[in-house]
Amino acid sequence: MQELATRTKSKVWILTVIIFSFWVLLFMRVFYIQLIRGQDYYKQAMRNRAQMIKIPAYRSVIYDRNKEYKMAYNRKSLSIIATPAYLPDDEKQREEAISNLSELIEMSIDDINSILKEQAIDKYTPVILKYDVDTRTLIHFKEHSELYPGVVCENRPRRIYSLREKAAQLVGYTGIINKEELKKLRVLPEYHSGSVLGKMGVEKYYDEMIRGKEGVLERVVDVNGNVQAENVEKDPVSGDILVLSIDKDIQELAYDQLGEKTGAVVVSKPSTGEILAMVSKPSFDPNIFTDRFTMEEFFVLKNNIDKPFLDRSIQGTYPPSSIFKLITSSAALNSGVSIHKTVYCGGQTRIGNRIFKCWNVHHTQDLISAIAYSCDVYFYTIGLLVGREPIIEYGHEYGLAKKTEIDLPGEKTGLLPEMDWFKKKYNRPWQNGDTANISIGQGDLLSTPIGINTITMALVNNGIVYKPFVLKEVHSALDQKLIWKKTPEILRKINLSPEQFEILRKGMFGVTTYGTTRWIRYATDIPIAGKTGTGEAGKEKETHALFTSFAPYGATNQDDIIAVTVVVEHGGGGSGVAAPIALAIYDYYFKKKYKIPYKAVLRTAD
Amino acid sequence: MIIEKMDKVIFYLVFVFIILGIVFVYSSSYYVSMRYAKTPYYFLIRQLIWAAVSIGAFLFFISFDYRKLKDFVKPLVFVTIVLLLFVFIPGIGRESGGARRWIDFRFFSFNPSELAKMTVVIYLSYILTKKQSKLEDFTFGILPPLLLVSSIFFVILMQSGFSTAVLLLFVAFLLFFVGGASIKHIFSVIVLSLPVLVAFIIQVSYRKARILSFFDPWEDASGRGYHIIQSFKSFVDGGFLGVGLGNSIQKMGKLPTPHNDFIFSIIAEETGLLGVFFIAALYFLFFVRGILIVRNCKDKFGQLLSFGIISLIVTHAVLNMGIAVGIFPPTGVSLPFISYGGSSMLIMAAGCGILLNISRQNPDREGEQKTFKKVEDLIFENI
Repeated sequence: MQELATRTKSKVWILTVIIFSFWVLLFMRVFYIQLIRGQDYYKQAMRNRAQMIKIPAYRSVIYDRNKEYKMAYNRKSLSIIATPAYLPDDEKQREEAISNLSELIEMSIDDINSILKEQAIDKYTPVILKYDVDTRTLIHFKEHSELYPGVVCENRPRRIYSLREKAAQLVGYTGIINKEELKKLRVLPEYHSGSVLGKMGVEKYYDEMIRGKEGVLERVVDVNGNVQAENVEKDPVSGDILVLSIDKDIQELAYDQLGEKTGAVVVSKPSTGEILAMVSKPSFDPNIFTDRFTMEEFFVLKNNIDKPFLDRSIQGTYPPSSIFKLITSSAALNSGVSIHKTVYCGGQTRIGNRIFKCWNVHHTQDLISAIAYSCDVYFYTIGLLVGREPIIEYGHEYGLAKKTEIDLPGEKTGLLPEMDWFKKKYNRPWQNGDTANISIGQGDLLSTPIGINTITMALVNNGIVYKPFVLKEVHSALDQKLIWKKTPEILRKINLSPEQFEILRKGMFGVTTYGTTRWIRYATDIPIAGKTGTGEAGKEKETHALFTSFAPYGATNQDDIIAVTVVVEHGGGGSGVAAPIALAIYDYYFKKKYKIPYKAVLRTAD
Repeated sequence: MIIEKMDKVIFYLVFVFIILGIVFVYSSSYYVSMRYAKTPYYFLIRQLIWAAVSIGAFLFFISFDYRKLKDFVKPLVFVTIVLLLFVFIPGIGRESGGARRWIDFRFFSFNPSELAKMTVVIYLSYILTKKQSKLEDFTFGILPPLLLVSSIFFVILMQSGFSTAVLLLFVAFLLFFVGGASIKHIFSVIVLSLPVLVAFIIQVSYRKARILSFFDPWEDASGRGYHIIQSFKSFVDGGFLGVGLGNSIQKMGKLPTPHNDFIFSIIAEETGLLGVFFIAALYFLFFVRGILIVRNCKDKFGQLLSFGIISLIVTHAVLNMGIAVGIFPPTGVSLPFISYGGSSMLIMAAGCGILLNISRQNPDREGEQKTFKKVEDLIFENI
């Protein structure tokens, strides 16, 4: 027994020593943590609360062509910013904080919650709740900051679109990246969840250039989200300055001229392809996207049946109607139809067993007068003479079914009735009546306003079409030096001789001097050449009013010429509704803004 | 008077621990308590009630002859097993924090695994003394108690008390070892059961994550490693003197159960290095005095029993403190008497009562000598 007890005792001592060694270890460890690695641990523990915040760079300033007017810029704006991660975890406290906030910035609790949910993909993303906070709110906020945990009040750049709704679709607006965009753009380091990017127009098309380079801010915050220390790791680099080809005054004028109507206006310079104005109506104010607007407002806008988000100038497709007669004429000229060939218009003609009507009785017509009077019977006859294929071929030549490749996102193509497509759609062969129909621009023909404008450019340039563009120059954000300048690119060349183009232009000049819009001659002395169109828009609806034109006709300097295309949806006739808008633009451009000399048209009686 | 012969150091230590527990539970639970019960006193009140009950049990067992415990071993084992099984019954068993280990008594709940630890200690001390001569034989000696311990172990394991179960097993093996079981047998049992343990750790993902986070807490500083880092941060923030009682920041949602498993970190933050060493020294003193009781005890049952109780309490303390400083992987082990938890405090107080009864009946023969002198002797004697 005694021997066993001794053995037990020695075992106990062995264990005692082992447990004792744990103690030694414990003490050593405490010393190690606290004294030796203390600073390390502290730093690392700090990193737990430190955030690496991406500093968004200032987006480019966007100027109009005269480099004086800022179409889009950033302004410092005192903003209320919340970071979801630093709002109280506790449900009740969080609700309380948000309700305090709601009172402070006069925004409903629901709105605040949905903004936080929408915009904070990552809970460390600071979300701007309200821009342009007034001093009283700021003082109240600073005095009672304990009421608003996780909220700060700081200066943030706010994007301003000075032309507001007048260039909304053109300049575009910015917003938080959505899931689809993120999926597509994730390969680029500048795009990540929470990124702000252009959603429309120039802002979207040139986003990579406009957004600049993000910086990195290391920020240490305490439990309540109050900033303890800040350190800029990498400075953001602002986006370079963009100069558009757009003339701010023409843009505004075109917008104002459209009035309450729905439609689009495109003003371009055929000698280079630059766009001077590009308007689409109805529109919206892009500034509301930086301001907070309710979800309801957004959907009212988005689901608006008038589609204000649609850039009608490049995305709206309309039947070119009588404007297409210029293409039929091109096909005829190329097929060797004499310009002296006359057709008698008695108000209608019979094709097969169907009667095709003209909109008037024009009596004897040749090519030039037929363009000027837009005589349907003439073009029915010529169209049948030339046949379907050359007309479709010239439709392609003028790029009706192609994009103009303008530097804006979302451009649509027009439509030409290809044989296969036609048979599939109507389940019948192509007939002479169909040829007659397309000869006057009806039937399955569609074009965008920018597409119609390029047709006009082709006529002005003897067949050469420059790729339309809106970005003219890029200047460095640092020293304003020019770093890039657009050189006009030839998009396509239409196969006709200069003489043949002169015939078409003569016809167009006829339109405004003795033809369908001869009233223009009494309204202005600017030699405008144009072509009206009245597009069928379905049985019950009012027709679309179209007018495409250029001036001055017969200019010695190609550079003086501008082309104006106007489309008014359900506006009625091209002459009465669309042409006056173009006229106002010419008047302003030649007489007021640039004072370009032209050979005035004599105001003689008809 | 016989009471004078008991170890007064341990007697006072128990009171000091209980008072420290009340103070720190109040401080560390303040935030959690406000958050869940809307009053800062929720945990404090419960801790006070349990403290009173525990002191009662403590005093009772001081005057209760430990030899008589032998007569209660069988009913004790029976009651323990029944209580453990009760946990499985819906309506009686209560779940909390993902673990089902409480019996709900409406006004308080009891964790029978705490009782099981003490039962195993008492049972093994008894059976190993009784079967002294048969211990060399595996089948008739060590196997029956091993089977009983294993079954309790698995029941506790199933109730998600992984740390409790392992701790119980650890103390049991210490007792087998000291009690005279063949080292060969113990070793083979451990080796054979190791794969099961490892499999069990890997199977439950949060356990795996905890173990992984132990190896490199910085790897996932805001996820798995978060609690360990926060614990370290408490130590660093505490500095030498601490941020002051009640001023801890880490208890506000940064550390889980700051009044329980991570109370040592809060002590470190609020009272600094000084507090840490003070608490650690108290447990060390407790350990040394306990071992002296083991040494002075003249009968085998008393030796094993006192050794078991001491190892149980000290293992808890060492593990809890070790986890807080990252020596051990983070698992839920309470700091004896100080952590919030009534069942644990009650059982440990009862254990200390038994310990003091042993010391009363086996008084220190060299009672006048200083503790540290004895420790020195002990160490040198055995090297």
